[in-house]
Amino acid sequence: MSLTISKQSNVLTCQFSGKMDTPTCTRIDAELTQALSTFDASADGALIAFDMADVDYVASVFLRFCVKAAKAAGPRKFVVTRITPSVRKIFKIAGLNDCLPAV
Amino acid sequence: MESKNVLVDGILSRASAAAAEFNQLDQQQTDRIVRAVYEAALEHRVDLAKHAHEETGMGRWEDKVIKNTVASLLVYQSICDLKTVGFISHDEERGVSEIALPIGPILAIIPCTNPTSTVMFKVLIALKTRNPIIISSHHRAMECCRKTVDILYRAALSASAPEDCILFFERASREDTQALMSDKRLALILATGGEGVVRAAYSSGIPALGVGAGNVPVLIEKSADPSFTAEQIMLSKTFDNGTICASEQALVVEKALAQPILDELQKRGAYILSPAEAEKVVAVAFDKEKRTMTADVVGQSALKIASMAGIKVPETTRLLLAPTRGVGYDNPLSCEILCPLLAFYTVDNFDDGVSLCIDLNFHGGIGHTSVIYSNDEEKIKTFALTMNAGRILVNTPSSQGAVGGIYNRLMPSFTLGCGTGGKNITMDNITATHLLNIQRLARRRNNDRLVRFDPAKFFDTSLSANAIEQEFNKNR
Repeated sequence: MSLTISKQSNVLTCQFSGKMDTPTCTRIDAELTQALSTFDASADGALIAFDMADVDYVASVFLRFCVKAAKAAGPRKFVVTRITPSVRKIFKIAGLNDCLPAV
Repeated sequence: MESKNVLVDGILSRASAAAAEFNQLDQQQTDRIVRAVYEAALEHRVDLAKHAHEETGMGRWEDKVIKNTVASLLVYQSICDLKTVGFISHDEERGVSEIALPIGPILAIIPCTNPTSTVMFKVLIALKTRNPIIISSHHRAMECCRKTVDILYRAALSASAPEDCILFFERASREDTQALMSDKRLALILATGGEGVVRAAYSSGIPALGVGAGNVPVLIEKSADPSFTAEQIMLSKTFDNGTICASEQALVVEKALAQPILDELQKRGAYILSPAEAEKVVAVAFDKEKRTMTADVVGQSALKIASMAGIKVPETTRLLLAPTRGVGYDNPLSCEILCPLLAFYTVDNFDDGVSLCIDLNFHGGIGHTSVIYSNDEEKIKTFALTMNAGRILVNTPSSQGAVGGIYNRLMPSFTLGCGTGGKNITMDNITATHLLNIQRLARRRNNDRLVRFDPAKFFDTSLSANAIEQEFNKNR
């Protein structure tokens, strides 16, 4: 399973696992898009969290997912959690600094 | 005549004539000049160090002696056997010979933090490659650089060097410098200094070898030896009061070692600032509006900085240590500050430590230098693969380690390339080989496979790429 989605108290958590390469991203695109479309950014404590603990590779299409999620969530309501150092570097290179967790 | 600026026109006319004469020298003549200049630099290492310290008010003269020694002795030893004139290599099988050509007049921008040593270094690598060099010093180090140029030039002439092979730029105004930088007679700008001067060099339209900013993270992993690590860090961060851009800026320590490291650093003269004290130090050390360190603290001692900040520290204090959290301009301690002030971060584990080092690395120090203290080879490799740094040093004081030649076999250099992340063309430690144009003489060596290949097949659209490749490689 590459994507597990859960929702609790207006927090939408998308847990990814494995290689987030282009074929995988294409496969999960519809499910993720559907989940993001139901997200209510105006609700109390609304937050989208991408849990990346088990991800060791991200394709550019996945980074676009992050941009899409950040737009759906609005300012400071999208975070990436439990990211490995090597994937953190990829986010830095892509200039996606704002969603990274503080160490 | 390309420039209407009399000062610039004069100096470039002289440099161009020197370049022309230099072209005619052979390897022996060149090496004789370089040896004479190196000897003069080494002989004057102490008086020039004292002069630099007195004039700039930065650093420690004793450490500047070491810098001058590295810039003369170690730099000379690293380049003395290089072939830099005429045919320098030949590969019979490939039929390719390489011919070294001088590039032409070089403009050397000299920083006030390492003035005399940078002059020595740049003059040696320029002369070794038969290029005249024009020294343009930071205004705070004009006299010591002028004196260094005088000494080196006299030594060069004594070895029959071309007249005007080393020139000192008596700039009168910012416009003069801009005119010099953009004159087409100049071959290269060797720009060592702050962001402004490096950007000006790159904007001039003349090829430039520049440097990037340093913001050196140091990961202290749990297998590190606390006593050894603390000793190395004190040796490096207090060296010349932290003026070297490769000096440590932040310690990132796994929590298992945090207290032992603090204890060992304290034993050696580190003072741990309280949050209130750290705020006072930051107020004098960092200009939040300009998002950069203040010139006032660069190369000053820990005691002086404490006094400037109005805090009392023991007389034995050599380093100010500020426990902190977070990376960004809202936390100036996470930025480059060239003085004996170090940020101290505690992290839960190795992965958090690497992540924090990435953040620091990308916060103004991309491509420069990173350090790890560890005795775990796998973790050292993981750290190295994750950082973006031209120099990733292991169990090594970074000020001296990045410069090369003392604690490792990196090329001794006072101009540290930072790659495209630091807006430079190379990540190398710059040396003589970067100051040559290499011509390649290519003898005829037929590509037998291509000669055998039926050219009609190139036009046969029924053949796939694989079929053409198979045919091309047939009977190899």
